Amino acid sequence: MSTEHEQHNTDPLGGITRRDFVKRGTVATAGVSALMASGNFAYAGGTDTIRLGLVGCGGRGTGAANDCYRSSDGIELVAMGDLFQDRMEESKEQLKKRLGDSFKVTSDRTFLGFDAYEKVLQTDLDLVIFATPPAFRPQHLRAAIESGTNVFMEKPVAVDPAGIRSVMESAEMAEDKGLAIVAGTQRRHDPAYRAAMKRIHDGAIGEVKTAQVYWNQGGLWHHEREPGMSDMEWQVRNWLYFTWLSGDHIVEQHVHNIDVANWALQAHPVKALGVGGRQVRTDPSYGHIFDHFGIEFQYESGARVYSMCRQQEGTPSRVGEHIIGTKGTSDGHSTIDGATNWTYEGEDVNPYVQEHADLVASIREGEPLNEGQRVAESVLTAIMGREAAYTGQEITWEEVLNADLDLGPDSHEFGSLPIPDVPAPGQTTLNRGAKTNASSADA
Amino acid sequence: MLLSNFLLALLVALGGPLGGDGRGPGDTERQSFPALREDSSDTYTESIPNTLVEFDMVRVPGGSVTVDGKEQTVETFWMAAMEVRWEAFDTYRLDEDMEDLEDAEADAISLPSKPYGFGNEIPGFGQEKYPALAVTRNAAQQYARWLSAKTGHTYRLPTPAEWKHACRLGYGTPQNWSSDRIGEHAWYKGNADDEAHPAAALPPNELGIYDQLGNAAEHVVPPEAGEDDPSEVWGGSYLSSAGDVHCSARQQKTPAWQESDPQLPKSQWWLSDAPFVGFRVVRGAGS
Repeated sequence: MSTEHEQHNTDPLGGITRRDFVKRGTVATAGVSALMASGNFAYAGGTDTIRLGLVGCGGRGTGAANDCYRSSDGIELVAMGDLFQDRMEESKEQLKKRLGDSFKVTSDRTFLGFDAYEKVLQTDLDLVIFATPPAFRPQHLRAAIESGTNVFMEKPVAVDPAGIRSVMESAEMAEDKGLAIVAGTQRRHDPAYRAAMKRIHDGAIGEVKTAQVYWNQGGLWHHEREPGMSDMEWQVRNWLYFTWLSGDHIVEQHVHNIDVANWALQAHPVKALGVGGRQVRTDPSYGHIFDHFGIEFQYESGARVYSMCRQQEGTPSRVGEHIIGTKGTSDGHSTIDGATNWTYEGEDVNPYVQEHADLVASIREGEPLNEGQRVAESVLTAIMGREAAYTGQEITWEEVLNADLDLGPDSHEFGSLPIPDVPAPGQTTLNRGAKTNASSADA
Repeated sequence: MLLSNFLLALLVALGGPLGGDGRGPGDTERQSFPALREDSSDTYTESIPNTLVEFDMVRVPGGSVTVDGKEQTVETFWMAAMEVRWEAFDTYRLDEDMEDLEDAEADAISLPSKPYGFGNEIPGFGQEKYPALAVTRNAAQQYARWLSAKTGHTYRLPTPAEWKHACRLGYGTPQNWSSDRIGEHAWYKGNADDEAHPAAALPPNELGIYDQLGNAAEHVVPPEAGEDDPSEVWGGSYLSSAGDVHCSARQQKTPAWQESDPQLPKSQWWLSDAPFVGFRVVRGAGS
């Protein structure tokens, strides 16, 4: 057992392994920073104030703002934006409680509406958090980089090839302007994952030949449609279930595990073949997305990664990765078995806080982290898998990267918005073009 | 009801209490329930109406027990033979049709949120036959209220005194509960392989109760507990060392149990970092 197990023996959680226990608010110390490619110290020691804005005040956005505040000294929240008054009020109440004097959001820096992001960016900010539904991310990211603001953005960072191309351009622009972009693929900031991946990259399991990645679980929340709700409002409040908003669950959720496969292989795949469908969650209140996918990703090296994700009520959950090389295997974060055996025995760190610690430290040290291109590639990997399942065809990287596929409506406004059919393999095509607003359609 | 067909399909495979050591979610082989006691008045089987879920309750004779240095009298009560399993918890969790509830309180019963997966920190283990895990005290209490409204019998969580008294009757005193015997009845660090196991895979104790020690650590609620008092789970779990699996073993909820829940507010229903927490229900003898 690891050393930190021994120090838990006096704890009410005695006997719990590292996998089940995360220290409250721990931020990694210099021992981990040695692993960081950028050479950042993981703990942001500076005290120069970072003025933070939040766009997207749901549970995750609110959590992210709190994680950022906990990660480093000198964080002040100064502006907030959302579509909905109710989400805004709940978020404010939570954050006031936790941030105390660092909560500096006044009523004239509280913005509602589709243009709230512009108004948040017009306040004097150092850093902005984007945690709206993914559909809006490319537009928000572009505006932030153009206005010279550092960005933390939740995954996924786009839902379609048009969005991915935009994110890749913004990432390049951030590089030129010296701005930081960190994305919410928090495993990349988890010292256990970092330690395992460093060993895998150094050959601890030989050449990586294959991996299996999973996100299987039960169903997720959805909100009833209330009288008078427009199509747009109902869809945005139930954003998980519409591909134009979420990218479908393979993109919205399973991207975490797909990102780990790309990390292990230090590449993105060159093609995908897949199956999927809508088997249990068939009611129209669940939009038109699939409830399961099974994808094979092929890489340039010949490696193949098998991906499985499912959201079906009453089924057991499995979330994780299994990486197989010529000399051994790894779970990607805690253990390596084979020619060499290894178990992570370092500190347990909350990666949701650590990602902000790394981001803030990189800004303060003038060596901004920029994860934009990398996260865009992982999200495009998931989109390629989705499209392989939607169309029933083998889809190549070049095809999906360059596809004429822009799923969002022409304009963002509360009004009628028809729901596309459930995709049909063998009939649905990759180059479906842009969906137009059918404003005259029945609500 | 949106999910009725699905639920029916889910439950057709279950057919009431299951024992044996079947492993894995794909294993739906029917197992016969091991006989509890010769005297059947010491047990009864409760069925949740309009479902195929059944569970056995065992009579626990009254007595006295010391908790926190205070000797307490425990009236005779009924205790569930098994920890609440997913198939039972899911009938509540997914119950979109509360109209057949007669209880006036039923209006106030809320249904759990649906967790955004369980990250790498929470393995899912399995569904059928496995104890419902990572549930908050609030979720366990809401389930008990729902179950009471469904069945017309008053179910609740055990008090610490009831839990400890039943444990002592079932497993005997600590003197004859040594680490070389612990694995006969309890899933703990030494035999569980870091995983929860299906309910009733190991033999029951003297009372006919399964897994009270080990497997899932179980919620208890002191009669005077307020909503803001930290919840406690007793008996140790599949992660506990041998020395932490006994009738006075208690763990108090800490913020670490929800540390990696990335949402604010944190879930009132799920413990993102405490996969070792479950519960069982009890019922007063006169209710």
